[in-house]
Parts: sequence; C-alpha cells; structure tokens
Amino acid sequence: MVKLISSDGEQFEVERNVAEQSILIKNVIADIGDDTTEVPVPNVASSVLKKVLEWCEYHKDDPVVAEDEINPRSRNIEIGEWDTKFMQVDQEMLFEIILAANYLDIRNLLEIGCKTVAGMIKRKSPEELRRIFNIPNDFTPEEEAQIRRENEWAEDR
Amino acid sequence: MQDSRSSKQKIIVSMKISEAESQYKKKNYHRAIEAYNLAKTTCRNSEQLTKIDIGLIKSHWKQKDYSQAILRLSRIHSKWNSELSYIYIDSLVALNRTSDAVTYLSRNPALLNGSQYGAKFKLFYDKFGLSIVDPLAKLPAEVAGLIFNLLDKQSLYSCRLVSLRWRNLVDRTSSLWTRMSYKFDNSRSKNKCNLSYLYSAKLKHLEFTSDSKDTKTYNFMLAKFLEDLNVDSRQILSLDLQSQVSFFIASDNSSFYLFPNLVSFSGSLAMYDMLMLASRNSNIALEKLHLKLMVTMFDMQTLSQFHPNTFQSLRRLILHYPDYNELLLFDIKDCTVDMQVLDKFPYLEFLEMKNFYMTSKSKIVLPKLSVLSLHGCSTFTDCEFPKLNTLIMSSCGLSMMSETYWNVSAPNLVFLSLQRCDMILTQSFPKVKAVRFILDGDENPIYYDTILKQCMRSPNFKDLLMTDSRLLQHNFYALRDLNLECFIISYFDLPELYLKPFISMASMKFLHIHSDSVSYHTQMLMQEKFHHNKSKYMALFSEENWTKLLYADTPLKTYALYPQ
Repeated sequence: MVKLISSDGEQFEVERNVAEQSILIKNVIADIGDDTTEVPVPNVASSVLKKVLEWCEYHKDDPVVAEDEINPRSRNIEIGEWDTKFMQVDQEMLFEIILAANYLDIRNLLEIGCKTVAGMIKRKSPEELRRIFNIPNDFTPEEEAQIRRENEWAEDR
Repeated sequence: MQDSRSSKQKIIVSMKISEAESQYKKKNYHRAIEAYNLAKTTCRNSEQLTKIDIGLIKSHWKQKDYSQAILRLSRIHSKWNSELSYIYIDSLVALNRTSDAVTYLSRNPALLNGSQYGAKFKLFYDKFGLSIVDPLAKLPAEVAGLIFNLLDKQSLYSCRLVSLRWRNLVDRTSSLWTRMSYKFDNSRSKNKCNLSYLYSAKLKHLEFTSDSKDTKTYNFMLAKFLEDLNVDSRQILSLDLQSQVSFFIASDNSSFYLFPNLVSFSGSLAMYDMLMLASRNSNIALEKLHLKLMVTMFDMQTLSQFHPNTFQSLRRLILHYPDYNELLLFDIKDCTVDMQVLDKFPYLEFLEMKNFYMTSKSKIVLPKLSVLSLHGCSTFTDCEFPKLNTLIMSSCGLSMMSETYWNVSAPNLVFLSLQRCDMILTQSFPKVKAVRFILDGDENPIYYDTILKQCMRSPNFKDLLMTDSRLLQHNFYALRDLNLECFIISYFDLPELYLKPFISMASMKFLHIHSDSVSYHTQMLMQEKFHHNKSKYMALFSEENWTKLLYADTPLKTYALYPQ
C-alpha cells in the first residue's frame, strides 16, 4: 500500500498499482524503494486527488500509454462510457483534474481530460465559447475585424 | 403647407407615444410595444424616434425579452445613459453572459461611480469581476496545445476569436500550423492566405489539390501559393499532390530540386515522372528522398529498369494497380507483375498491393518485411518473409488463373486476417496470436477451416474473430480446449451449447457475440461472468456495427497492424 498526502494534508491509502498509474509517483516509489512509503502530493487538493484516485482505481489494469502516443494520433478514439460519466463534473473540477493528471503524469487521464475539453470547444462559435468558459471579449473592434479577415480565407473553404 | 403637415404628423406620433407610455405604466408591456411600433411607422422626427427606441428597449426588458432589448440597445449605442447601461448589463446577466457584462463595466469605469446605478454596478463587478478566470489560462501552454491539437481547423479559427489570450495560445502552438490541406480554386478571389505569419516558418506537410489538370498552371499555382504563404519550399518535408498532375517534368531537373528535403511524397503521375528522372540520372539516387509512400499507376516493368541504388532506403511501398474502369480508361491490358521486381527493395518493411496478378520464376525473399497487405491479388510463387508480423489478405486467389495453394513461410507471424480468399496457406504459423476470418458467403469455408487448424497449433493463439458459425461448429472441441482471451463471432446461429464453454472459459477477457437468438439466461450468465471486467471489454449482443471489432482495441492488441 502507498499513502498519498494531498496539499491540504488529507491522507489516501491506495494499492501500489493504483498509485503507480502516476508516472511521477511510480518514479518516487522506485527512488525510495519502500512499499509503505508516504508520498506527498503538494500540488493537488484532497477533493481533486480523491477524484483522480477513483479514476486510477478503475483503470489500474489498463496498459500505460507511451508519451508519444497521446497526441495527435489518438484524435479519433472515443472516450469510454465510464470515463464520459467520470468527466461529468463542474468546469473547475475538470480543469483541476487535467492539471493534476499533468502534474502526476497520468497520460491516459490527461488525454481523456483534454478530449473532454476539446469536445466542449468543437464546432462552437466564439460567442458560445466565451459563454461556456466565462471569458470576457477583450478584443478591440479593430482587432476582432482583423482576425475575422484572417479567418475568412479559411472559413469559406 | 409642408410645415403644417409635419407638425400634424408630430402631434399624431406624440399621441401614439403617450398611449404607449400609458400602457407601459399600466405594465401592459406587450401593448406598449405594439403602440411604440405603430408610432415608429409614421415617425420622422429623430427626437421622437429616440424616445420610441428607448420605450421599446424598456418594454422588451420588462417583458424579459432580453435578446431583443440588447439588439435594440446596440442600434442606439451613442445615446445610452446610465439607465440604458443598467438595462444592458442586466440583460447580459439574465442571458448568462456575465463575462461580457464584466468586460463592459471594466471598459466603462465611470459607471461604477456617480450614477444612480453606480452602487449596484460596483456590487456586481466586485462579485463577478474577480471570479472570471479563463480556465485555459490555468493550464500550462503544452497542455493547452494538447487540447488545440484535438480540434479541427474551423474550431481553431473560432478559438482565435474568443480572447486575446486564446488567440495567442492558438497562434503560438506551432504543431497546429505544420500541416495544411488546400484546394486551389481558380474561380475564387480569396486564394491568398491571410494566415501567412502562422504558416510561414512552420508548414512542413502540404496537401495541394486543384481543379486544373494542366501541369503548367498547376505548378504555377503551387509556386504562387507558397510564395503568398511566405513558405520556403526547402522546409516542406511531405508533399501530396493531385494524382492526375505531372509535377516533376522539367528539362533541367529544377522542379525535382524545388523540394530538396522531402521525406514523403505522393501523387501518381508526378511520382512516375520523378522516378523516370531518377532512373535516367544516376546522381539522383533518391538519397535524400526516403520514400515512405508510393501510389503508382505505371507499368511495374519500368520499376525493374531502375538503378539498383534507387530504392535502397525504401521501407514502405504501396502499389495500387487500376480498378477495372481505370484499366479501360488508361487502356491498360496486362496487370501481371513479375514479383522478382521486389528484389529491388531489400529494406522493405511495409508492402501493400492491390489488383495484381503476380508471377515469379524463383522464390521471393523479403528479409525485413513486417506488414503485408494484399487486395485483389492472385497467385504466388514461394515466398519467405522471416520477419513478417502482420498478413492481411482480401479478395485474393479468385482469378481463374490462380493457384489454390500458396507456400508462404512466415515463422514470426502474429496477426492474420483473411477476407474473401479462396486459397490455402500451406505453411503453419507457429507464433500466431490473433486471427480474423471474414467470410462473405460465397467462399469455401474448408480453406478457412484448414488455416484455422494450423493456427490453433500455435501456443500463443489467444484471439479469434470469425463471421461464420460453421467454423465454430467444425472446430468446437478443439477451440473449447484452448485458452482463448478474445473471441468475437458474428452471425451466431448455433444452439447455445456452442457458446457456454467460452463464457465460462477462465482465460476469456473479451467476448462479443452478435446474435438475436441468445436467451436471456445466457445473457445474464455472460454479464455475471464479466461483472468485474470493464465495460469496454464486454460488448455483449451490441447492435453496433460488428465490423468495428475487426481491429478492436482488445486487451491482446500487442501486435502492430501498421507500424509507423
């Protein structure tokens, strides 16, 4: 078993193969060489770590994706049903999960997170995207017109 | 006379406005809107028109028709007062466009102080202004890049219009701008690309097509296009040209040197020209051009006349002979190829051939071949592929002239896929792990039966797909004694006793049966058995197109179908 300690001090005891979905944790354990070691995860809050570990538990028997396979060759692979449900969280949590997956180096989770966000972006107008992600339009009318002119060439293809 | 008419009209409009205002006061907003609209039809006075517009905006806003209120507000932007600003912000918030409201306030800080709505504005701004954080801004640039890489070009162009930060993120992700697929249209005025600053240094892979069949025009268009994009042709690594255009015809070979750093190239006639050029000039041994892909439609005999060094580095060869209609079109009569020509490719790792009738007097040996894909090809002499990993055959051996037996030695074969093939592979495959048998109905299952029996001798044999229940029926007892881990069968029309041993097989990880006639009890049995497995490994009686499973991502997918 491995004990993971979140940024807010909460402890999570998980099986080694669950924790080792994270390449970062795997390397830490390999360096220390102790099964029952405590691994601090200072960049991840307990609420996020809990969610990440839920994903790791479910996927503990999956093969690990090599780094060069993440992108962009995998762009046509669909997200599984379980993962789709797993990613149905509020936007803040979704981005926290992606950040945690990136920090902990959990490539499959990072890929699923990125695909989920990409799915939210695909085929949306700029106005819809601003609304979805709550982003103010900080372009001046001139800048916006310039980008529209640039895009125009591509849009009518 | 005219003045008198104008003043009379002004009075009438004024009366209508009074009527509208009275309805507004009585909270009959719908009637107020009707009255304002009626007044607007006869109003010519700008002062009255503004009054009407404001009345309409307020009525729509009160009626909670926020989109209409915003639309009308945008038409009289120069006449906004603090009340209209308040209506604008309130409407934005009501439409869930909080971020736009915050942006508006941040650009008009005077609204936060002084006006009768100042306190309300300030409260709102303090509440939401700080909470608006672009979520993508939280991510490191490389992760944002991963997301953008998953988007199509149209979505990327939308992203560029979201905000300054998003545009910078998209523009600075180099990998997005290395590949371009473009169709040049002679009749269009907007062929000039305005995104040259994005592509100028980054473009590496270009697919360029045009309606024009004229080589000179095509060459000119391509050169012009690259010039407009400010792209140096030396940076292009992969080029895909329109198949019907000859590109490399040039007396001084200059066109050939236009793209000196190409590593991948396709385009039928252009390829032919390039190879002809290479064959005539021993200095052009394609040393730099490590061809990965060739889609050709030329006489295979020409290939054998090339300089021996021409193809030394070639690892991937795709040869598609024309289909029947194209044969007529190009007046090609003989599709026979002497397989001996493959001796020219000692480093070949991937070979795909389509529509060839192959002959050879002596044995063919390709020492490094890893993947062989054959479609519509018939008859082989003896072949030896010591490193072959994947063999995919479809519609092979159907020619009247074909042999029934093919002596192919592939001791390291892992994956075998056969579809509509009437032939027997005489050698066994001692290391085969996965087999796909796709029968369309007219083939003789005995051929497949023989091959399956050979495969079952392999101790590695774990993964089987078959479309025909007869193969299962004939080999039931042998199959149930194996330790299969993946079993896919479509068109299952046998009694259920043929299914049960596979459900209870301890080693089984992926079982997919396509059948309408399996009982509820058996379904439950399967669900129970696979209860602890992941859903992606348990596609039970699914109505999805089973052909997807031909290359399903099963737990056993350790073999590479198409190594890159």
